[in-house]
Amino acid sequence: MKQYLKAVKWEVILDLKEYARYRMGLVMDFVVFTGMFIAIYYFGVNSGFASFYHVDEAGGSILMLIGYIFWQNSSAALGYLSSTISGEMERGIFEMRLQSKFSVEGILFCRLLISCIIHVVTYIGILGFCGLVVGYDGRDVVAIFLSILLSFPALVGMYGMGLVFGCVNIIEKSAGSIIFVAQTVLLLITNTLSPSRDMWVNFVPFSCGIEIMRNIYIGENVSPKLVIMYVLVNVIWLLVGCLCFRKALKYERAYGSFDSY
Amino acid sequence: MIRMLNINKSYKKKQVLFDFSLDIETQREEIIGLLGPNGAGKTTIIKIITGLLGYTDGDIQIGGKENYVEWCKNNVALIPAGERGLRYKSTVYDNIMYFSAMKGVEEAKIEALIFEFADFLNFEDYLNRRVETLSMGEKKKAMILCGLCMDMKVIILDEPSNGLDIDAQANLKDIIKTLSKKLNKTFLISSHDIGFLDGIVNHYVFVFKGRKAGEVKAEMEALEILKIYQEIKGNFGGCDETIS
Repeated sequence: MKQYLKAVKWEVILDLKEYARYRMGLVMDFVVFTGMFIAIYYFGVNSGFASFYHVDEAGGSILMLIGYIFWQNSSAALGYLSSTISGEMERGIFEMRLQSKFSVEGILFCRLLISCIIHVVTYIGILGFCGLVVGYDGRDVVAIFLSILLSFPALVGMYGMGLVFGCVNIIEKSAGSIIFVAQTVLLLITNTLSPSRDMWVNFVPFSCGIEIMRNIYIGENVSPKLVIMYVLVNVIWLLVGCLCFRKALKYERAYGSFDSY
Repeated sequence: MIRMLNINKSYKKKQVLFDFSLDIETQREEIIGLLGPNGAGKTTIIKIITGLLGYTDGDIQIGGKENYVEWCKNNVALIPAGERGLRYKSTVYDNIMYFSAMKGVEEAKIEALIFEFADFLNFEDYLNRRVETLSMGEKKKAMILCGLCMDMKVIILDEPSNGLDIDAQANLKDIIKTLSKKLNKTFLISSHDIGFLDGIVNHYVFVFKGRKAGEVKAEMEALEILKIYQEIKGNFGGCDETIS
């Protein structure tokens, strides 16, 4: 266990140093996520939330912001995991990782977690914009803080989903723009931008989290069923992801070479 | 001893290794040269020995003990071909700590090994340089330093002379020979460069078209190696690629 933690420590040290030295990726994420949020805001999506949840216009904006926080965190996690796997495959680091004493999946999850914590700085854009245009009261600030916290369990499921996409990187060496498409689809079909209580939406790792947080914000009781569903969906995605990832590694060991670029 | 027994390997429908067998001594110093033209299957053999790739048929045993792939994780370090296997945006020092920690080596031990080997390789001044700022030869040295600090029994180098100038090659040969004696480690070097293997290797394995074409357990001069190589090449009906 001690050795494992040391290995994680060096992963984190190198990641932090690289983040500090090469900030452009973080700046780009900040610009893209903020720009997208501003565009969505001016499309008037918030009014749909206001009427669905019976709150005023400002409340509708906060409900939209809650969904966007969950999506942004999950979307960044998906992008990070996919680009990490494909980048490491390309540079031969992944081969070294496979010869490590420690499980690839565990280390990757720790790195994802650290990356998402660092990524929280990109929220400054959307929170700042919303604060200026809508204005916050004390309850809103608590809701935003809670949303950020509650979006973290969804990383477990998003990690599983990322591993599934990672399989494409391992076997096909390039996933092309599939991640961008997945991020867009998740934004459009879930309850991020439009209120929805359809059951199938809950099979996306962060959807139940959004609903839980919105219920808390409007002062409604949170159904225990929804909380259980949130946990269960994420665990299932994690298991599916790990299973697919193991299968992909086994396939590549048998028929591939890990470095056919 | 690592014992490869009749290994066959296919990449989907293309078979690349045919009944390949090899014994690798791990209890005493040994420098094995895997010699063959480009595309002969050397890298595939290396990846199987490191446990990275599986095989279609055959077996690999390690003293009748544990699972071979698990044994590799604790005992084998691979220094890949080209400029792969390093985090370019990080310093040499951080790379060494990172990859050695991945192998479960104690931090204090890594620290001690870094300074011992960096001194030996005359590389102390490069430890705090980012990998992306190093020349190809310097990157190769950084990779070797990484491999050595992992403190594994078996060190595998895939085409280590590629991209190195004459001085750097001579320097690397000295390093391998001295380290093998000093640390009692097994080195397995894959190369198509006779000049690089000459004078350091004491166990030659010739690989042609995915087959073991010959094996000599002795130190040889370049001309002797070339003679054997040409004979084998004739037996295999020539080859598209040649060695230098």
